[in-house]
Amino acid sequence: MILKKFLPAALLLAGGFCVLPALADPAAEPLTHAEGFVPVDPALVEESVRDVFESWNSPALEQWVASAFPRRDRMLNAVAGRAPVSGRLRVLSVGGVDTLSQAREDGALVSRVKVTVRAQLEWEDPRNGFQRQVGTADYVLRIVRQVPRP
Amino acid sequence: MRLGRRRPLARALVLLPALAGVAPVAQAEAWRLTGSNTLRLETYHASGDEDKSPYADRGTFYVNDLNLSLSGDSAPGKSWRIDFAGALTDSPYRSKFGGFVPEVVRISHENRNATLPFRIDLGDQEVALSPMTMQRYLKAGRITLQPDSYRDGRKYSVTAFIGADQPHWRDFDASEDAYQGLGLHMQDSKLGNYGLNIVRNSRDGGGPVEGSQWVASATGFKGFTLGSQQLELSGELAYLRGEVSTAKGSERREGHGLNLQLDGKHQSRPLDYRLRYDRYSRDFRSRGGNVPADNRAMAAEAGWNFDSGVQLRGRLQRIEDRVSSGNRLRTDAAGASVAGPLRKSRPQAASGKLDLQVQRRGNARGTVKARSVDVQAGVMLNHSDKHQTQVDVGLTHIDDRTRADADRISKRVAVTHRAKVSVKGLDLTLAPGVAYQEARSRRGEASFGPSLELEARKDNHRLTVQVGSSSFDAEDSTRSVDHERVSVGYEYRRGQHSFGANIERSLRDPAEGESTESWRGGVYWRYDFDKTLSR
Repeated sequence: MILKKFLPAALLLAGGFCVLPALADPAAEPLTHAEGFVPVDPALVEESVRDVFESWNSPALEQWVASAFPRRDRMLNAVAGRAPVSGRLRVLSVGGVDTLSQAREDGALVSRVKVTVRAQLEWEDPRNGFQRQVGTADYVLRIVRQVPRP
Repeated sequence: MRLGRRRPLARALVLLPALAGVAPVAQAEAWRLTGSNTLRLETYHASGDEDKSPYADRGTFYVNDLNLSLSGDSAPGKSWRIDFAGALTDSPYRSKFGGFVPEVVRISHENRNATLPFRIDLGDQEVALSPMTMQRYLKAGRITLQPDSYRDGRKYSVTAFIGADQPHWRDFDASEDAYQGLGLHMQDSKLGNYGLNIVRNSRDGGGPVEGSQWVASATGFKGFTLGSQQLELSGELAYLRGEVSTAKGSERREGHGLNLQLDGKHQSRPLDYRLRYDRYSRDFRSRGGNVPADNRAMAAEAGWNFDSGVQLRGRLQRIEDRVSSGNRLRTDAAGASVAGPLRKSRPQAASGKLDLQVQRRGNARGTVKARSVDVQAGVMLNHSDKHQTQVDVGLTHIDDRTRADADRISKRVAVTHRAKVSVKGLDLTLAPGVAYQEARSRRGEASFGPSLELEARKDNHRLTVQVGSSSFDAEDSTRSVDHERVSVGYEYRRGQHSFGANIERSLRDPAEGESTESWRGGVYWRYDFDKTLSR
């Protein structure tokens, strides 16, 4: 996958296409595909992606990574302990926004969204100066929006 | 070849008006068309040492993004949904392709009133049967059936799919990474949820791993009560047979995988906990799954929520990689975190979080032997509704015992204040901050810099400004570099239309050598639509 060309996976915040573990309940998905389904605004998704990427290599990253993210602690430790101090992720483009699922929970509309992000890691290497590496990967975001109770 | 692949998409798009025309059936739900079209023009420039610019491609490029979704009923219980996302572009930042680039193309239809209720999905879609067999975003065709169980509280579901894991429609080649699969699932309010899955994958695209493999699994989930404990037990058992990637290349092998998880919570006390066990054999390299091969992991975690709002959590984890290799790599980790309000009398005024993790990592041959300690702490001070201050500190110490000079100590401190001010109808948000990071290993390096974010809104206008600078200090001072960056964005909304412009400038100024100044500027027009087409 393109992710492997980007960097050691441990340095990425939420690399690759990651689906939350779903050991149970596969039959529960109702056949209500079109009913009340509102795709998430791509502009909102892009803004969210930029917020998450901006927090990479900072303590704020932790708040964005789902508790069910596979090997979450290992990934966060790798960023905290091994990422270059000057490293930052620049979002080059955001596309391919697809709302995978949507549900109403306690006055909120909870959507899972797949988005394709082309990003660039930039850092200063003490020996070789400015470095950049580009990669494209799919990410899954969970977007929660407050909605009036029906 | 490419022209031929565009035809299915073209047919899909032609369907849009056709379906809209079919819509006005008696008692049908309304058809709704939502989406947006965004046209952007962007220009990238650099001067000085251009090789050190963040922008590899300079010039002016256009991107037109179209996202649309059409949904509705052609008859009661018969629903349709058509999704499309794609771009028309010549920007290398947006796509490796020039011209028309379809990204999400999907048609879904379901009939809830049929004798055998069903749904059909064609195009881009998430196919997630189970973690060990199939969790991928495919270009696929899928049918889901929900036969009647004739029993209260029980549901059946049958899913069959055929598709390919391909990132692009433009160079789509199903044979590179093709999947076929079947899932049978039952959900019963008393017995629990159970599933059987089988997935076949074949790769013939000339990549490093060719050939086919299939994976079958059984999943289960059961919730029950034991004394005062409310428990949920879930797991999956899988078997794989076929071509897998080995050190010698692609070989025909067998493998198995197992995971079990117990989630529990006390019915009268604020206690919750989880136990988990994972074991995946050396050759369990499921291409559609999402688990590591030749791995064993055990984890336990528990949390307690105090009346004061403070949450205490602890976790223990052991992960073993390359279990069958004779050079097993073991990682043991223990962690604890506490989070919540700092003052019981005014819980909203200040909250904090402290996270501590220790880790030991080593292999059988002793070529990997390291210990690490990671401490992260943060405090949020709510001075008022309009003023907040966030302070974060972190320390990571990696003690590498295989080489004396390989230890690394990383420190980071970040302080941000956020203030909201209203002046004559102008809503201002100001967020000044400062961040410091350093890493000491064989070579030391540090980065320090202030930043300022500003957002101003009034009626339909929105202005954002971001200013930041940082100094990168290397032990060899001739390698030190100063960075400055400024970005300004403006957007004006009028009805369904939004017009915007943004500009970003960055300056890289090394202690020795030529500096680099880079610019990116862009303008855009977005049109949002949400229309009910017919009833």
